[in-house]
Amino acid sequence: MTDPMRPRLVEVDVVAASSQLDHYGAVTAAFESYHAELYSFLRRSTRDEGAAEDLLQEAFLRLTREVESGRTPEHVRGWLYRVASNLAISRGRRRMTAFDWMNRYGRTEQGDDIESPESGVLARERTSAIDAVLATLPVDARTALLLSADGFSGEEIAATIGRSHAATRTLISRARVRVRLELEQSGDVR
Amino acid sequence: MTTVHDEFLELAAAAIDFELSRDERAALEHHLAGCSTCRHRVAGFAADQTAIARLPRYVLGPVAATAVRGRITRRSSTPKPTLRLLAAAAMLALLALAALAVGARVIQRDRDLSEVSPTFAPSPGTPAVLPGVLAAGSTVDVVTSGLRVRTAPTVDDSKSAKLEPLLSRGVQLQILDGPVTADDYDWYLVQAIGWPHRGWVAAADHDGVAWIEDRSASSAKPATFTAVEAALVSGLPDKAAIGCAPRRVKLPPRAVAGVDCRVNGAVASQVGAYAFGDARDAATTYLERMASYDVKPGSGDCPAGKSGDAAWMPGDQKAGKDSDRVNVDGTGPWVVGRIGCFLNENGIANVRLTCGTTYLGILGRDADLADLDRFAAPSATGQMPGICRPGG
Repeated sequence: MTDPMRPRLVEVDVVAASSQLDHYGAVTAAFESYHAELYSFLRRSTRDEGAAEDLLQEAFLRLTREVESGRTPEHVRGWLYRVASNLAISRGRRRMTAFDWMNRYGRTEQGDDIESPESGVLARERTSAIDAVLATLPVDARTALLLSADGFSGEEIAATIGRSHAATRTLISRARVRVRLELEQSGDVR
Repeated sequence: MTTVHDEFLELAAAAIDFELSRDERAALEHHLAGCSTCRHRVAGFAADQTAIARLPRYVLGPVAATAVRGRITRRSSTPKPTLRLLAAAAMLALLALAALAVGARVIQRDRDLSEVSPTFAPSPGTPAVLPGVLAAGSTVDVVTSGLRVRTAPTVDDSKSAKLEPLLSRGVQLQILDGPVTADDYDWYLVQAIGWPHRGWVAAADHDGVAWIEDRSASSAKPATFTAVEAALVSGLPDKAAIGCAPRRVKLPPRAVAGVDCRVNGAVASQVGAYAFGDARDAATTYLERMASYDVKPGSGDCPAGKSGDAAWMPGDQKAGKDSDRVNVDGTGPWVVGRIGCFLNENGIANVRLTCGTTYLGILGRDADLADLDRFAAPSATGQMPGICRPGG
């Protein structure tokens, strides 16, 4: 089934297209081209302003190291999304581990910054119903849905989040069903 | 507990991102044919995907972006910009490198390297910044896609070296000195914020389209008008002289200056006033504009809501003073004082008129030509429409 809603993914290979530039120019060109969309993706994926900024920086620092060691990615945008997704998912897992530990020992306190749809900055923002439901998903499922909405195919999402085809398909289809059912329960039946 | 419906829903959801097998598709279609609830939910999947794609973008603020950019570029293998000297003289290269290390002024002052003569250099005693001049110490934005920074204020590669890479749109610069005029550009000595670039940049291209811009000044302070622009605004009645700003690009043909006023009123949304060298130029531009909307001179009836043109000066199509008459496309003579109206390509009412050496354009809110014509306040023949006068 082809989804007519899917935005066409246009890959602009900044680094490849500007091979005459030095490393410095290549990384800065990539930064100017992609940092805005990548930041928005990370912000929504992590639900945390500071973390999104940190991970954005980390993704571009890793790109710098790749370029410097002569391993300039062939598709820079896809490469950046892969690194950013993995950073966001790893961070989410670490935080969940901490969350589990605190739950086990009864140490969870009001006002901690464990991600939840009601926490921190998010609670102060007027978010749409879909944004609120996305926030209830585990970070890997949320990341997969955001990648899909950003135009990545199922196969690309699997490669990006480092999971098998089958595992990614299960992850993302269950996430879609969950989003739909929660929206229906919240009264948004479109 | 999952039901058979849940399994098909997951299959339908998977189809958004993955190709289903032939068997899966057949089974899904069969199930959907008999399950209206499932069909409704599957339609919801597509709507959800669209809603996610349309979520508002989070924006990294310019300060944070500059900070991240700075941290990335500091870690980059080439911490300083590359000097690429097209002129290969070794002495020149050494001098240019020295200039980069100690400041670009060295090259500017070196009589062997620089013959550019500053036409205006603010001294500590300079009392005020001239209109359009960027003040030392102010922060400006790069508003072009690639801005070149040079070690001296000239495009002559034998006298100034280029700093790499070009600065992208949105990079902020601190003005350190300038402007100096050379090679028909106005140059400023700048330090790029978060970048190692320190050198000279041209402020605009030869047509005056800005490459760097003080956005805080343009949005926060009232617009600075030239004398002609100020006269255009003061010639308008209060109801039209609202939200006016200079217009310096894409002026109508023959116009020497212009202002655009964002009126945002109940009848008119925008008023443009343009100054010409003489009334015949203004009238010619007016008639050409009307002709581009198929309005012929002396046709139609704007007060009755029908697009057209009429003279407000007496003597139309009669011989008279040459300075008051124009001929276009072999027709005429037409008097230079005219008012007309038409619906534009979006079906919005427009009025155009001439007031002596001024040509006015009024954009309406809807298709009501008669209403917009009344806004222009045409008087009995022989008098300028009211909108031509401050008290009109």
